[in-house]
Amino acid sequence: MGSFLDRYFEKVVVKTMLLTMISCFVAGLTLFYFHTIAQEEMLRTEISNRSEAVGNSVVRLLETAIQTGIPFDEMVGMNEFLQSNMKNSDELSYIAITNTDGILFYNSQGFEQSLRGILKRFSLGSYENIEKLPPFEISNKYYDIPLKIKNNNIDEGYLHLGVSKKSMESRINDIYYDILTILFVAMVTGFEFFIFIFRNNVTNSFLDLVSIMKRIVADDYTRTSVKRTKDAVGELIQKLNQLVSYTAQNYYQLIKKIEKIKQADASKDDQYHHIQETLIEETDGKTFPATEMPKQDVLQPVVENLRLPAFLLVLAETILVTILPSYAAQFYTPSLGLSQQFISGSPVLVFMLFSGIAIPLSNKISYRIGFQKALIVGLVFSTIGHLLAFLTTGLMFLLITRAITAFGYGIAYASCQNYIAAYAPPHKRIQSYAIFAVAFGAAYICGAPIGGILVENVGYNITFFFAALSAIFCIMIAKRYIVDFTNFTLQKKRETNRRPRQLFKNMPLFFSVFFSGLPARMIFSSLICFIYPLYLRHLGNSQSSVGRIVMIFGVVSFALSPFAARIVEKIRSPQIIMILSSFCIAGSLVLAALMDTVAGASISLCIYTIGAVIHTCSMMSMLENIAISEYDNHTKDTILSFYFIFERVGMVSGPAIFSVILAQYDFKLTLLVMAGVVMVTAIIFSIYSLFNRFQGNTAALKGANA
Amino acid sequence: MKLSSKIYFFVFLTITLTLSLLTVLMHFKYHMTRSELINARFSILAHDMKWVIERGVKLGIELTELKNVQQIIETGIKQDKDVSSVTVFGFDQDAVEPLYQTTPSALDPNLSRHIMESIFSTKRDYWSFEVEGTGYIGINFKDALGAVLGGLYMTYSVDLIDKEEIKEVQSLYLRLLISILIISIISYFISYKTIKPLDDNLLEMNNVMKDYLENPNSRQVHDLSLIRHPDLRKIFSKTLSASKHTLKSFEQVNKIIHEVEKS
Repeated sequence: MGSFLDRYFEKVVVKTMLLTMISCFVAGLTLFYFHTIAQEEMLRTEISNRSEAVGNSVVRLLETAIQTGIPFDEMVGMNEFLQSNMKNSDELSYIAITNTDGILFYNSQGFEQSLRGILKRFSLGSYENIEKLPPFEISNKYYDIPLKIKNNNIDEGYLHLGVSKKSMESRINDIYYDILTILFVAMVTGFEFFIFIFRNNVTNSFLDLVSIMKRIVADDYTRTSVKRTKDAVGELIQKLNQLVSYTAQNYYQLIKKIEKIKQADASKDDQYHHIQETLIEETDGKTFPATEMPKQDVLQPVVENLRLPAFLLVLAETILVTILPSYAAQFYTPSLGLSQQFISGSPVLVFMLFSGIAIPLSNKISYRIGFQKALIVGLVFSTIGHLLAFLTTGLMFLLITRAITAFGYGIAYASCQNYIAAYAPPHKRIQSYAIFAVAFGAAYICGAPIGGILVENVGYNITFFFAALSAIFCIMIAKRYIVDFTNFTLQKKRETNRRPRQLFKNMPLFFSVFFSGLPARMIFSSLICFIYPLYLRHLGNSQSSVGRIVMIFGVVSFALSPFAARIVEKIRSPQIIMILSSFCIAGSLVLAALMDTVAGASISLCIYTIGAVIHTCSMMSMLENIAISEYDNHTKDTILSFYFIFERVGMVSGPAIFSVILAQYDFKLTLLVMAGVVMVTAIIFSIYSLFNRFQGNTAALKGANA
Repeated sequence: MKLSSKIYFFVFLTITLTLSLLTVLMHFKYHMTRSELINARFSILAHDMKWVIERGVKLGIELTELKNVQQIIETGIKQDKDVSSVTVFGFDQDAVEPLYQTTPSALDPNLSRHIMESIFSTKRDYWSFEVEGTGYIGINFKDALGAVLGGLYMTYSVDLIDKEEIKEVQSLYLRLLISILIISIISYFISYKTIKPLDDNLLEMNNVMKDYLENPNSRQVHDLSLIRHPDLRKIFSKTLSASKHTLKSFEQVNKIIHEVEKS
């Protein structure tokens, strides 16, 4: 019965979700289509105007020269002069000057001699009364914009500006991709919002209804379901609850009556036994509460509800991550005695440092006030930081605000992880961690483009305000939907018999963190934050192309994380997956270094992301296993914090180390060094795992039994 | 509240939010691309004028002593109909001091501060900003040693330049409204068709439950035929029978208790 009901409601949910997503996508594509037509038209017009502006400046000088008496066909150094003007417009392929008969006098580099005849044919037209000549398609490679050269209002000749069709198309394609990115960002944001709102208002109600119907059919009257909504499902749940309560009350009254009979007359002992036997017989297999009223189900912590808050938490940060370096650079003055690069990177460094400090503190705070409250405290700090940044006037003030935000972010981030660790169902632990990874991936995809667009349109300060809004929205959701146990303060942190520093002596943890987790994080932060963007720029990509290629990381991790988590959950030896994924990461870096092309870099980024996602999932699985084997000695949160702290260390130290190598050598060597680091640590980790696999598994088994 | 209305509301909310976000981002992107291209176009004219003036400066002649600057900017402004004025400026301590202007006017101290900030914060070879409907685009003059001695800025009417953009933005938002409207109507019918049967079934189940709760111990047989979905009907019927069976068994026990009490 349950499975049918589950399937029935699931079908309704899936149908509705599909309907919404398809509607959104179709409408989005329609808007995209019409908008790109307008963008394309604007782009063509403005590029032509810009080219004309270059042409006008040349024409003005030429006309001055002609008026001073220099013969039009005997000017010296004209080809070089035309060439120097070309640099003002990226789309210009040539500038050529002809007389009114179409005879070519001067031309810049890039002018194809085959075009001479076409220019001659052009001059056959009658343009005396036309002030602005229309652009025309001179060949399948160029558009030609002709401008008149006059001497005392008499046409002396024409200046031809050749606009490359290819570069125009490339600009238009860039715009297409940028708007497509925006479409994707809007869809992901809408999807996250819809999943959350639908789960909390419809899906969970269906589950509650299924649960109470299942219980009644199984003759279990001990509990009533939660009535979350006021719709038809909520009403039905309420009525079924009334039925359960009524039945439980009836049962309780029967018991009371029987007790009364026993107490009233001891001679009726036989009859009492007869009634009791009848009751037992009649209610055989049925379950009733011990009290008059059945227990009401309380809202259980649902880790899936973390997805939207986690998305908003990371979004508030990723909105700022790409704009902070340029914002900090504005405050650069040589009197500070620091390099401009250091000033640009300082907000990121401060952020990493303070979030690293906050993570271990988060554990203490969480166990004192509860995960939900700790999350809210972190978010409040984060919001205050963003709001203060809105008022920033100098570098020091900006760094202080970043420190406050980072502290809050660290607490909130670790609280989310601790919440998952505490409440994830045992068979879905890694999948629950993947929820966080998916939220991170989605926020990573959305944050950077939104931040870039916001900053250009509303400025830095208002962008901070938007980040604050995202954090405030996150607080509201956390307050309403993140359920924690209400008697949390009574659930003291489990006493353990060892101090956290003794975790260094735990060899599986030591090797996992220092020979797999830390190097992977070092590579991640260096590669995604600066090496890949710089490398792609070095390969000749525009800034927007770089953004799009790096977005592969967000898209692949967003799509792959849930599947990777499911697979890793089923595999008993996560260390094997960790080793394989480390080799995959190293392989992707070698590929990027050896291929040295955009396609190679894109493929390698794709492979890298697959490796990184699988590595993260298997690392979490490994930590789970270690937590089980260390049950008597350390809590899981202590073990997770241990990893998170060194994860942060890796995130900070990676860029610092590899930027020095990149400054000294080239991209190829840096990528190979990175691959070498991952490879060597993976080999050490595999040797250790090979010798300790049996022991580790036995220990884990013992822990699990315990 | 009907479930179908509620679900439809969520669908509508999501579609509206997603499409609005998409439209706002597309609007911003359009503005960014256009501003960038327009500034690049103006910067060409600015470069053109700068090239001539800066040559004099690099020869060591003071900006104030250059004789042809006024003529250069007067000719320059005629090159682009969108440019409203051109000003060549130097510095008076930490403020901007206009030296030559096509349209003479006093410089507001706030504007002067704004220009000073832009001069030293720009990463491009020109700087630009907008204040109260006027766009400013400027370029710096440097001496032979690379020190900034002054510059020139051009102004243009943002409203005039943005006329075309406003047209596109208006049609962008109009398209958004039409899309929301069309998609809402379509999704209403689809969701109505998808959720309506469940809605009817839930309504009927609620009615039956209401009847049943009014007198749970009655032997009345409830008509479940209006629950159209056969499996759902079967499950609901099972739920009711289970409850009825339990209550009936209580009745049995109650009967015996009564008999005992009577005896």
